[in-house]
Amino acid sequence: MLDNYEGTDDRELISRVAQKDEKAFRQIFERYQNRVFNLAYRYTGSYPDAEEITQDVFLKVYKNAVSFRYQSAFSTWLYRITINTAVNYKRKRRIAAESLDQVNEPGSKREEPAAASAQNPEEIYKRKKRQEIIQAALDSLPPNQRAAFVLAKYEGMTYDEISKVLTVSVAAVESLIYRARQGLIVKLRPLVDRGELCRKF
Amino acid sequence: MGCSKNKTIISRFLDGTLNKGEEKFIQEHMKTCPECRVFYKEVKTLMTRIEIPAEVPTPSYLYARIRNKIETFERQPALIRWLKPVLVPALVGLTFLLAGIGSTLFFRSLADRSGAQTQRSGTDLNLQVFNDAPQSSLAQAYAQITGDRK
Repeated sequence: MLDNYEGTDDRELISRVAQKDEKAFRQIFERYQNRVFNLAYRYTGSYPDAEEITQDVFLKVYKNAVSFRYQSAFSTWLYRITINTAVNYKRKRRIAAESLDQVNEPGSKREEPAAASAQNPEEIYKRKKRQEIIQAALDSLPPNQRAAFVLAKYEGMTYDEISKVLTVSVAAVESLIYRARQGLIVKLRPLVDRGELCRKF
Repeated sequence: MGCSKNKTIISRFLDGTLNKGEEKFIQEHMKTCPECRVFYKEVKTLMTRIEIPAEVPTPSYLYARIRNKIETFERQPALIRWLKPVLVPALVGLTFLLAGIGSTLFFRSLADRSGAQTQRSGTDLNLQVFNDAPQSSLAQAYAQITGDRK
């Protein structure tokens, strides 16, 4: 895409972003937009929310590039910003919804693009329903448990990687994931028993 | 509840992060602990039910929107950009300080007024007592002291 920065490593890019180099910033964006957007989407379950969060994340990267100290990998820092932004975003939306006495609508969904692997409309519908049930259960978890679970299950991160993103110990990550699973079992057990969460109906 | 530590180990077992010794331990434990066996089965079932959401494409207009936000940020005077992160905490602190000073002054003035009232009502009471018996010698003496001629 941008010949001069395509092979440049993240450290070099971010130091150029700190000097307000727009091409370097564009390269960072192109490199990480999918990961940031999908992490935000998997955390919130909402496409419009993921859009807002992604914009805020990259704006923060631009503003704070000058203070990035290379104590961790750039991707770790970026994931940390994404999770923190998503947590705060969800919290503000919940407070706003409670103060207006709104029922918590499922992520104020606009039409999302269909997943590439969709087979037929019925399968798409069933998968969507399953996902909504699971997302509702995830939404009931405390933010730190939800973050640890999403990073482990959806992003495939190791406990060590998650501990760096969340700035907690590995033992704390183990505990968070265990408690997240406990919470999900409690929420989803009745549905599993009723057969509402089968992969194939 | 009693096996919560072992359940954490089961959780790690399912993630494949145990060493051989720990794996052997937890497998032996589950043979004798129904609670942990149930937990293992439930987590395993749960993990198979939860699919990773398919990756969704990023909207094509996203970069343009980010650039707009950056330009808005850059257009702010440098002083405002610097002040903004400190302004809100400073205002909150100032509000608390003023509230503290205001309430101290208010309660102090309340205390002063009630002290003066106590004095005045004492004097009034005295007057009242003496007015009830204006002919008494004490009343006369008081009238002389205060210069009150009735």
